[in-house]
Amino acid sequence: MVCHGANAVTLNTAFKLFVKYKTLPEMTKFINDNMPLGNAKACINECAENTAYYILSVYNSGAIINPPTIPTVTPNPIVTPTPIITPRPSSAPVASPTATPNIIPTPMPTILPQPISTPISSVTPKPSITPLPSITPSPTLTPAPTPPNTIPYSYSPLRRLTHDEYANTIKSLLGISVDLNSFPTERITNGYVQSSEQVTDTPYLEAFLNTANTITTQLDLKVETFTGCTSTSINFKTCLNTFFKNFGLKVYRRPLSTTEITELQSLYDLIASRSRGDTAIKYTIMTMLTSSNFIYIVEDGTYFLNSTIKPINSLNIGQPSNIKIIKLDSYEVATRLSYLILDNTPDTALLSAAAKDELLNPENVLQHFDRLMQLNSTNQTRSGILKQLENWMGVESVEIIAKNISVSINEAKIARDQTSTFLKDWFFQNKELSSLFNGSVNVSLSQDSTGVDPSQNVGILGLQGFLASHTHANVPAPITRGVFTIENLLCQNLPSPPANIGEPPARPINGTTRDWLALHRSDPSCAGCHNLIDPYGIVYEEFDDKGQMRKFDNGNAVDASIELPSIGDIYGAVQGINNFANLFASSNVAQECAAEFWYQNTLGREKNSKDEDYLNFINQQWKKSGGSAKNLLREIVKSPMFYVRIID
Amino acid sequence: MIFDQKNNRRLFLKGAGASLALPFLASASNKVKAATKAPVRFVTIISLHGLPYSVRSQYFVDKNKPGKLGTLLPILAPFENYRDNLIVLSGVDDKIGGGGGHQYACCRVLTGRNNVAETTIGNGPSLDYYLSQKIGVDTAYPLLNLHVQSGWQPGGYTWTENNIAPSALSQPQNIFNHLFSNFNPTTAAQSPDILNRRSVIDFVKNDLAKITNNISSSDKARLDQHITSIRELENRIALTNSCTKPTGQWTNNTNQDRLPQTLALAAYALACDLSRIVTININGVQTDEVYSWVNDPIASTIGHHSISHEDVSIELKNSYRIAMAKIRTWHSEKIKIFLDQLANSIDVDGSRVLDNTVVLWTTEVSQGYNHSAQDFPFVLIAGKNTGLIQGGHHFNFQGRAHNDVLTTILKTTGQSDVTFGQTDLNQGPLTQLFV
Repeated sequence: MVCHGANAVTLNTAFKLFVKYKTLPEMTKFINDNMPLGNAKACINECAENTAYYILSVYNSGAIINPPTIPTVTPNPIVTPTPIITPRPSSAPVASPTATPNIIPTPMPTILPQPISTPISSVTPKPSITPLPSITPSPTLTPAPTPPNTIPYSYSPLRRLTHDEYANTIKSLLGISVDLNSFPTERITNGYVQSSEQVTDTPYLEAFLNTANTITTQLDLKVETFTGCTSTSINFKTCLNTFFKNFGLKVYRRPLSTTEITELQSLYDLIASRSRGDTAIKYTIMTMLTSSNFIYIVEDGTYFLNSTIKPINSLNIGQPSNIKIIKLDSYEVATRLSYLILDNTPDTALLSAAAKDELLNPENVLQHFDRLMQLNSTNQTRSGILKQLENWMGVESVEIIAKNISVSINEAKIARDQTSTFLKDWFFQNKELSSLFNGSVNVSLSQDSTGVDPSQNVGILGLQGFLASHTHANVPAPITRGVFTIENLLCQNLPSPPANIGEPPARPINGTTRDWLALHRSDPSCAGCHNLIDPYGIVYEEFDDKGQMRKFDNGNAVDASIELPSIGDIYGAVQGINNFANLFASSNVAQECAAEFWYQNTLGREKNSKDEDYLNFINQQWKKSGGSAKNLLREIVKSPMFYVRIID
Repeated sequence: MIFDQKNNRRLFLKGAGASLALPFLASASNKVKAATKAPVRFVTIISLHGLPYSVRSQYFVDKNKPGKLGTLLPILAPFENYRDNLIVLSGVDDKIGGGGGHQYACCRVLTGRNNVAETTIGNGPSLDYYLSQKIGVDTAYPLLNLHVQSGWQPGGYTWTENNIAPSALSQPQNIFNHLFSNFNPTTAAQSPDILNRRSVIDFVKNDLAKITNNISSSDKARLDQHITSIRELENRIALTNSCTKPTGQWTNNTNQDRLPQTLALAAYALACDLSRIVTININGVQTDEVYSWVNDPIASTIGHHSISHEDVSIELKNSYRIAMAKIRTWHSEKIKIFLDQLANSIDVDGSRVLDNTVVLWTTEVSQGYNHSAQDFPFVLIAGKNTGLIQGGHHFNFQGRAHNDVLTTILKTTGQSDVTFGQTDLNQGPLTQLFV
């Protein structure tokens, strides 16, 4: 029962079980064979049957409906279960500090280097560092306190630069615009690039190599002009050495070790011995731009010798023996921050701060956070936070919007720009999360709505760029919009549609989309999910498939009033989009989902059950700091996860 | 046409000239120099969104009439010249029982297993990936994974044993660049250019080795793939190839151009032995391509995915189903040209490359509107040296799991696996299909 909590759910898992395995024997068999997750067969026979009975009984009793007073459609649950979505565990009343006493650090710890004089047997061997004159660690550093032994779980996978990050970085380093068309298509799942989907297989590796070749050819590299070293001078080698040191710092985003500099020098010499110096510098730069030190965000925590790699037995989660923690160094924090906000390599100011080892102190990091936010807010191109906001809201490209709603590229661009401007203003003006959903916007009008006041307090939910991104020709718009709302704005997983379904009902000739949807919900195999999905899409029915506000649907007056099945604190009768937007704006579930998105986006991975404590903590801090999304990111950046890499 | 008999002929003559005793493939790949028998190739071509049951007996095949194929119906008619190689299967089901959406079903086609935790992540290895590790490793592209349509789509057909989806190449110009931009058959193995490339690869490999400590097991699996890629590039540099670079106009506009060009590049890669395993995905699972050039009022104006779902009033449904058949016919016309190209290429043992190739042509769901998993429209085009029955046959297996099609293909390549994917669904290769 532990896994299934007081109300029988770790929501996503149990919900899926319920939808798929409706009878006791079916669910028992599944649990017997597969559960608990990651440790299958540890709960078999009686244990499996008891757990299955528990889940079924709680679901079927309706006890998990929250709040219980809201009626949902309740057909025989064994035959056509109405999926009942409950808040995730983290959306239970916000945990008091005592709820997670071992996890939440209070007050915020400052993770500073351990004294060099306390070697730990498992410390990673320090690479031999040749510090640049300008990067000598500041002698005024505060002696390091002992790092806290209660760092919350926040596993951070190895990340490769995303396409945007790669292109922005090349542009910053060399002034060249990269053609990303030669790269395999990048997957953006749930609004961000998941590190697990970043695989450098052969087409990718070739793309990195070929692009590096193209860039270095385009630059027409001459060893003397590019490095500033005169090849006939007796100091050529020393000069080249300094070049690799300085250029390497920018490319690898950290100082290079003497070994690394020597290796680059040797590569140059080897190629120069076969070809010319110009060819040698070209191939050496190509190599650096294809090196894992460049294309991955490597976090070894080794520069200032402060890395501790050890099993964190004090971390009260999972199997401690499998979990290691690495404290980041200042360069790595600079890199995280810069890619988080700008999707770009750290600038000079960040590298200088890293050189002084100032970035293990969250207060210093926050100063750079504010500076980079300011920089990003004035960016003319869509990159960094703005792009991430659009990915979060699933705002598609101009081309896809134009295709989805059959309009010209120009019309699609206007709709998209309006949405981008709204998101940008909302975020950078530090507005509350609520105004994302109920801020005042000018909605687009269809012909039949001429005369209606185009100003609505429905935020993003009423903007054509958003609505047209969630419309597909082959699916009624309410389904597409409902699924997006439930999955991406409320963070609930829906099961996949079943195979071998019956023939869907034909569209009624004179009926509305609502009428049509009602027909398919009369089929028990559809009703299970669509009793939930459809209402969350019908609330948008005041907008047509193109995302324009309308009065009529197929000649009938539009009716967007609906009883919403409960998803946590969202439930009950709403009279269309205005009502819905207000409900959304004050919803804890929506707020926690926002936190979940930015937490996942920062780490580049989907959350798992071990993240709940940290997410609760971030939510708590966020509420204290005021509810703007920028403050949410600030809380993430000043929290311990930003200064460590946890390996699970 | 961008790839005609003349090109093939030149390809053959040049190869033959490079090594008088053996035809061109002996010099195309060092590793097959001593081969006396040409290797088997395996090609998967996926058309999407299924084929409605109700039009099959009129446009595809009558499932109730197994036996020797009679007059070929419109979808199969373009294969008339390859009637001998044609094997049409009815009554083969995806019996795995996973989710039905296109992006879920596609993952199971070549894996024969249910997806990972009800996601759109396939539970690998897929057949093409598995075979690439068995019979592809000596070629420059152990697995050539091509998408006709660019843009990311959920799901996918090809999965590694770690459930990673290998990147696909899309857009003909791009595919050409990958396959042939560094293609320099006259470059001697010890030329400075080759040596410099090797130096870059060596250095990058060395760097990568340094970051493989202190990472999670899932990160390690990803980096292992990176290491494999480096090894593939090393192998590729070591291979010499006496094929000539294909010439032609590569456009990236619509599938009308992209499909034939992608197929032509695939044929070239097979003929030059750059790859022995090729998977071609004609569309992304959720794209809604309008086949504006197909002569049909529905097919030419409405998206393919939308047509498959038939969300229309009853009287329109049949015309939607016919449109599905017309689109499928356009695909088969292009696949026919691909077969011509393989038939015109001479293999290492003097046979035609087609003689040593198995093509599996299928869809991700059997029928679009209900995401049906029953009675997939499987078509095999099997060369005469693959061990599969010749003469043009139609079989109805009446409910056999498609896992048995996968082991059948494994058997043609000399693998002895009797199961693939979900074990309890396997009855073994389809013995009736073997000579």
